Amino acid sequence: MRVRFHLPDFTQHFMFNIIFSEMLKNKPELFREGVEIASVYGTFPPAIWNGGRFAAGKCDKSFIKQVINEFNKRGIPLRFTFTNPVLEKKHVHDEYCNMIMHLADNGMNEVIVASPILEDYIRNTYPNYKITSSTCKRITDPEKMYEEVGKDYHIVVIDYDLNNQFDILEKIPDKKKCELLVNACCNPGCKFRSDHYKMIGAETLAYAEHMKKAPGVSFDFKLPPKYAQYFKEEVEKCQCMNRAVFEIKDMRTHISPEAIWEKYVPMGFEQFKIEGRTIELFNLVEHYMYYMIKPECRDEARLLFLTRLKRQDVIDAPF
Amino acid sequence: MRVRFHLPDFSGNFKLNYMFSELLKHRPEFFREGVEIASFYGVFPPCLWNGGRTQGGMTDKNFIKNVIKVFNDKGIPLRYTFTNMMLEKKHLSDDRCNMILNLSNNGLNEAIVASPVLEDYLRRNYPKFKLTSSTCKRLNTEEALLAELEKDYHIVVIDYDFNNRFDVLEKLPRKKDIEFLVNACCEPDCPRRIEHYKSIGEQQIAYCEHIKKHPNLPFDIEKHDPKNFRACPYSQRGIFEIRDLRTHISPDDIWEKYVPMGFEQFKIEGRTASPLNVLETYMYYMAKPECRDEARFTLLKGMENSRALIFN
Repeated sequence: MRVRFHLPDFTQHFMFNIIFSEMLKNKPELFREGVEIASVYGTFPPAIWNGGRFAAGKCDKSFIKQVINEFNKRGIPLRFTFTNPVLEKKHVHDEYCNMIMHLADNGMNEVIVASPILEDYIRNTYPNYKITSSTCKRITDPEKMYEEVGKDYHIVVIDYDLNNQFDILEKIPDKKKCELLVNACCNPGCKFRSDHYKMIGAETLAYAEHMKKAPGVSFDFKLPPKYAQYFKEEVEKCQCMNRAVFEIKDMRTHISPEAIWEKYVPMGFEQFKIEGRTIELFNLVEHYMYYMIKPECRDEARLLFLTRLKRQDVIDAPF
Repeated sequence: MRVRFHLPDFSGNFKLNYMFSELLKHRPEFFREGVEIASFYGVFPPCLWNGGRTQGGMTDKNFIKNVIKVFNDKGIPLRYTFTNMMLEKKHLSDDRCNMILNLSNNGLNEAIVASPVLEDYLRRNYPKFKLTSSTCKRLNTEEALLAELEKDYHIVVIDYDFNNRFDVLEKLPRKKDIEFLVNACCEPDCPRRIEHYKSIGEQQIAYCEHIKKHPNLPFDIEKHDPKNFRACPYSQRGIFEIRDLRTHISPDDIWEKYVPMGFEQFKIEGRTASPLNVLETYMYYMAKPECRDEARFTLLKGMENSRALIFN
């Protein structure tokens, strides 16, 4: 049995995920059956191709190399969330994003795409990369989803409005290729979701431009006029991203760990994505414990994990 | 039903304990029936009279006043661990310890004692302080324990080698005034325990002398540990490593055995444990098992928001 998890953020949560991967290696008895780390996904900010979540910050080349090396030497691919849906042709030649692609172009690493323009470019320029089709595409029509699964993607992340719709999921021919986002914080059926992804995409472009022009000045998140079409008031007010694991369990799109092991894996699925690139760290700790640790070992595993985070100075307790 | 817990370290664990007391107040549905905070115990380092655990550090008068006010305003007593067994008469006039007692001499606060010299001094000079008899005394015979319960202590913390000895416990008078250390990390019946407490007392005195003379130099604990108690492997045991000890009292035992017998005072140790271990121990004992994850998360998040825990 393989239960392969894609985990959030190799940059902001760099040591967090390294320490967690070490725990999986050294204390496998604490984990549920078959747990593997399929990838750690995210971006090196300020990469304009990034999508799905806004990521601020600045990474230098030596840090990028270090992150690639630390995960890859543990057999864990990085998967770039290059899912910005508002990219234009001119953006594919971005120097910084291409530098990242070059540095990680070793056949192990992967990229998630949503924009056809970027997908074509990556397929032509970086054929070593395995390509994942993003949930940002919002393919909610079952027939179109089946069609997407039929294309030559390494993985297709299913639109999570289809989670728990077993009549639809059952008919997918190649279930091993499908990835399910298990802990979505977004409202099921949210009509603003695509707009939200677009606004994040525009903010990412604006942020990168800002960082080039005025790196020492803080970014105020006001979209410049050229991106005004992507502004949406409802999106700006959205607070769903701050929901904790305890607040999402009753949503119809939520996939519990019990459902993973008792329903999805027996059906043939084996790829599961835990979102959390921008959530608070303790919330993320709790998600990892909830999904990957045996319930009877959860308290002990959490204390061990937190203690190791503290020992490695990921957590400081100045009290 | 009252299940009263005495919790470790109002100074080093100030923020943790403050946030925990707020959680208990605002989210009572997370907690087991009847949970109350009976006291926060500990000292304001450096403290000559301190016993039980060697505690380093430096706290100033403003901090001391603030801690006293914050917890006393919530109706929670501070209880000083003035259980240094190696004190002599000359130590009673210590300025700092007397200053601390004067600052908190309001009838709400308490002290734990083990040394007869200090106990007499406190009874005479600070009669408002409620006194607790310490488990450091190692009164591990039934006769000695019964004799202790006849004295006018507010609380007697019984030697934890008596934990789970229900034949003895059943016969004890004044059950409401008896306190159990529930999560002891020390080996049951440890033959070196009293020696260890004495060594800690000597270290504490040496530390306070050192800090007066050389406040900027590190204290070499090795020089003051001739019997090498630092090598004791038990003092660092966490909550998941002590549960099989004969002296361990589980939360289920508290609610199903001890409270129905008439006991209501329980001490959680952890003054020198990792704060993460202390937090887990609080969850284990006081949160309802089905609410533990959410209660812990709420507390951790609160600590992060107040910068008691920082993600780098």
